[in-house]
Amino acid sequence: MLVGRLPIRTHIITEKDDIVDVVEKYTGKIASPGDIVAIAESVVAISQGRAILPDTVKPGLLAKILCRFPGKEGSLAAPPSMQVAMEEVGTARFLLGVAAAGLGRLIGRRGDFYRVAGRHLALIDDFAGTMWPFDRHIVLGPKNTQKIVERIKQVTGVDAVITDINDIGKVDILAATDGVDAEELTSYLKDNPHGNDDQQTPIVVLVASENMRKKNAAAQQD
Amino acid sequence: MLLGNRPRITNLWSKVVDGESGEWLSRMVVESTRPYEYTLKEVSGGVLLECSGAEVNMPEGKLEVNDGLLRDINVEQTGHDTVRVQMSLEHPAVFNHAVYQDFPAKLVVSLDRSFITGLLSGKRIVVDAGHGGKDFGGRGPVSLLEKNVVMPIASNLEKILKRTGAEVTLTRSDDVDISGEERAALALNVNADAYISIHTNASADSSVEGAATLFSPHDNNSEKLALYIQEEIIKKLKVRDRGTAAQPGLAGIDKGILAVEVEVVTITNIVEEVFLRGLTIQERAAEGIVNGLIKYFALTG
Repeated sequence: MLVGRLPIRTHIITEKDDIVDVVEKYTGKIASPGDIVAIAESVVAISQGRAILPDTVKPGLLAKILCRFPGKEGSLAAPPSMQVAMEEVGTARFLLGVAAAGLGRLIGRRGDFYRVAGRHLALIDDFAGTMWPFDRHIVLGPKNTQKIVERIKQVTGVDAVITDINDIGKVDILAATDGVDAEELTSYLKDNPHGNDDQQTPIVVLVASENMRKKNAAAQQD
Repeated sequence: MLLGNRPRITNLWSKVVDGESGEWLSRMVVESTRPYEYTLKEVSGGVLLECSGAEVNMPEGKLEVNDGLLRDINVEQTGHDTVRVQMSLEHPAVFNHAVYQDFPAKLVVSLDRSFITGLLSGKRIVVDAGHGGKDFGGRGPVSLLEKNVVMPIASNLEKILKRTGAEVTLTRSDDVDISGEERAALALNVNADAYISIHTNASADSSVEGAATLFSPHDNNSEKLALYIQEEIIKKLKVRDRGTAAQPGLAGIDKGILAVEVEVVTITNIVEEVFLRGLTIQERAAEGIVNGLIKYFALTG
C-alpha cells in the first residue's frame, strides 16, 4: 500500500541523458524495493532525442489543411506538428484516423481519431512555450517504454511506471513493471505532482507503507 | 525509503499567494525527506537559510524566480551535511516561516510583498487591449487574431495590478473597435499615471520573432518604463529581444502620462502563434509587464 509521494527536482534532461541513469541518480538514496518511481513521459521522450524543432520540419499541403481541425488549444494545431504526427504513423493510417473522426462526429462520438491513427499521437506536445529549453520543440511520445521501466527495476530494484498526466486529472500509465497497482497509483498522481513548465519534478517516488514505517522509526532513532 | 539516511532536500519551488489574513506573499517551499536543523536570517539583499544534517538531492545552483520581489534562489551543498539556500530579493521584505513535518517535510518561507503594493497602490493605470471589432490586428499563419489574444493578456494584467492596489481601467473588455483618439481620451479622463497597450508584432517575414516594447516619442520617462518592461518580459518569456523603440502612434497620449506599447511576441511567426494560444505565455507576459512597472516606480518613486 502506498502512503506518500515525493516529487524530485532534476536537472534539465536532454538527449544526452540516459533516463535510467537519471532515475538512479535522483532516487538511489531515496527509493527502495516496495516503492514505485513514476517518470513523466515527456522527459523520457526528450532523453530519446524525440524533441524536434519545428524549423526542421517541412509541412506538406495536407498537414497545412488538417491542422485547422483540432481544437486550437490542443496539440497538432500547427502545420509542423501535424506533419510530424503524419510521419509518425504514415499518411494512410493517419487519413483513416481522420475519416474515423469525421464519422464519429456524425454520431456524436469522440476519440475515434486516436483509436484508429494510434493513441501515441495524443502524446505529442506542441511547442507551447512551456518546459524551457524545449518550449520551442515538438515533443513526441516516448518509445520502448516497457523496456525502460524494466531496466529501471533491474538497476534500482524499484518498480517503475511512465506516466502521462494532464492538469485536469487524467492519468495514463504508459508502461509499468509487474506488480504495480495502477488504480492505487492513479489516485496519487491525479493532481499532477510532476507539475508543468517551471515545476521541474519529472520523477515522483511513491512510498510504500512498510518503507514509510521504517523511515519514521529511523527518524526517531536519530 | 532507505533506512538511516540523512534528510535529503528533493525539491524547491516558489509561488505568489494570498496569505490567510489577506496579505500578499512570495512563498518559497523547500521539500525534504525529513525535517532537519536550520537557521534563517536576513542578509544583505536577501534571506539565508542554512541547513545542517541535510543533503541536496536536486541540482545545485541558481533557480530563477523573477516574481517582482524574489529574484532567484541559490542552493548549494556547502559541506558533507550542510546546505545553504540563499533567496535574493529585489526589494526589502519582512518574512516569516513555518515547518510542516508531513511527507515530504516542508520548510515554508513567506516574504511579504507590501513593498510592491506600497509602490503601485493608488496608481491609475489604463490597460489597453489593442485592436478589436473589425480591426483584427495581426493574424497568425494558422488562424489566431491579435485582437483576440491580447484580451486575455490584458485581463491577466488587470488582475495582478488590482492585487497591487492600482486603479485599473480597461479600454475595452469586449470585441469592439475603439479609435486611437478614444483610447487616448480615456487615459486623459481618468488622469492615468500609465497607459499600457498590449499588442503582438506582425511581420511579412515569417522568420521574424520575439518581443519589443515601444514608447511615446520624445518622452524620457516612457522610454525608461519601456526599457524596464522589455527587460522583465524577456526574463519571463525567454524569447528573442527585439528591443525598444519610439512608437509615433502613442504621440496622442497626453505627455504627462507614461505610455508604452508592449509587443508580447510576433504573431506571424508560427512558433510564437502557438505560444500565444497557451495560458502560460498569457500569464507570464502580464507578470513581466507588472515587474517592469514595479522596477520603474521603485527607481523613480
